[in-house]
Amino acid sequence: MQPDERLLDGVAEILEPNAMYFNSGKDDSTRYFADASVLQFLGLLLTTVVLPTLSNVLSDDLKERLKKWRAKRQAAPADELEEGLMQASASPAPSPEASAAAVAAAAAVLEHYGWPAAAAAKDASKVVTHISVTIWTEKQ
Amino acid sequence: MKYVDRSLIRRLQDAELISLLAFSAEELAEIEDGTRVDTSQLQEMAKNIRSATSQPSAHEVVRQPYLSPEGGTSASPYKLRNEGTFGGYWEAWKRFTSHWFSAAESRRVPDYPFNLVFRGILALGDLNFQEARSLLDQLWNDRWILESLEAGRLIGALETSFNIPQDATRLSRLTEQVMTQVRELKDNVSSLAAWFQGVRDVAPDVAYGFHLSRQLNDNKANRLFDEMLADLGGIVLQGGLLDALTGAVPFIEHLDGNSARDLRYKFNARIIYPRFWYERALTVLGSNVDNLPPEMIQYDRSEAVACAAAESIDNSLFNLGWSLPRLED
Repeated sequence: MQPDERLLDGVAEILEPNAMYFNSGKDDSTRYFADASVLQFLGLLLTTVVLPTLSNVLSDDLKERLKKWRAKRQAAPADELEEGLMQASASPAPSPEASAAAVAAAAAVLEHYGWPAAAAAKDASKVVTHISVTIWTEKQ
Repeated sequence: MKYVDRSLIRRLQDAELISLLAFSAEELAEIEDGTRVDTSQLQEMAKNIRSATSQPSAHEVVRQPYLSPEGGTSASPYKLRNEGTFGGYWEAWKRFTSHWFSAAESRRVPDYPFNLVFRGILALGDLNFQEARSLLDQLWNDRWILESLEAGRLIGALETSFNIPQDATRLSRLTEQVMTQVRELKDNVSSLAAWFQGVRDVAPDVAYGFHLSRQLNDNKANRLFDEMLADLGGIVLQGGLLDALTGAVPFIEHLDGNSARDLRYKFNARIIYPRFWYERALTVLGSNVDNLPPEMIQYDRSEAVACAAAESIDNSLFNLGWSLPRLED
């Protein structure tokens, strides 16, 4: 399994216990059994959202592209994320402040997709820790 | 005094449930398109279950579904009135069950069973909340109450009558309790029979959560409980109620074309199969499913039927009506 696959699979596993909250909003087609693909989508979206906050070495161009995806609540394409992960791994591990900001951003995404605030905060914290460990510890 | 053990009561009621479902499915099919369906297999099964459990043992306790204040004692303040005859119990249960069915089919008197049970519990007067809730659980466990949505309404009505606030704090506590119960159930059961029974046991609280979250306009919690209810019923209904009645292998569709990751998702995120089944499924994934280990395929059909009916008698009848094999003209 590639690092980015391991990263996304880990995010999915963190979100699984609360996945019944998932709600894609208007015209929701996931009611009564959202399948595993919704967590893959959330994994990509959360990585898109937290990466620019966690790493301060992403190129301005890449940061701009990721922000656009984030604004549209869409996940960045896989090649852009891979590029982001590569650049981020070259930077120092994030500061506590950056991690806290990333947790807040991730929690906002989860709340938007149906997670209650408390569950969103818990899961967001685990997701950010997992992403940080995957990028800055496992790649050492 | 004669005594009937609790499992016998349940088996009798499940047998009658199978008979009623089979009969109703036959009627439904005729209404749908004028053709007859073969329900003989189901009726035969119901007959076998009934005859196997209809011999009174030396330990029979006979219960009527009518609650009696004078039946209370300090040891068991919510004891049901004993009539002393097996036939009395059987007839009473059939009458009581027919109320559920008439309500489910016609909706002319939708609150009749609800009112009957609720008035009965309150008639005991001297119960504290825990005792009243235990009685409600007992009525559910022994199949006096058949649908989880009704049981959920009864829990809400009971809590209201004991002045337990129906607020966000109660909903939050209930959500945590139900999620913990489901997790522990998934992790700890070691047979499909225990899984079906456990799923049915948790269904009233899930339904109560559904009602309460709707009452409080908490859309997020309502989504959770709605999904849970759909899964609880879907455990049996997705494979077809007929599959459960005829002893088909449960959950086998999840072994077809699914990856280990899909199986994990369904185990963790949904209420479909328990841990022991998931772990064995991982070991047979991609191999011949004709030789599955016995614990993956053996279960009690009565428990499966009761589990299906608990989600909705209406849905069970509908599903059965559409699933029964058609006879050739």
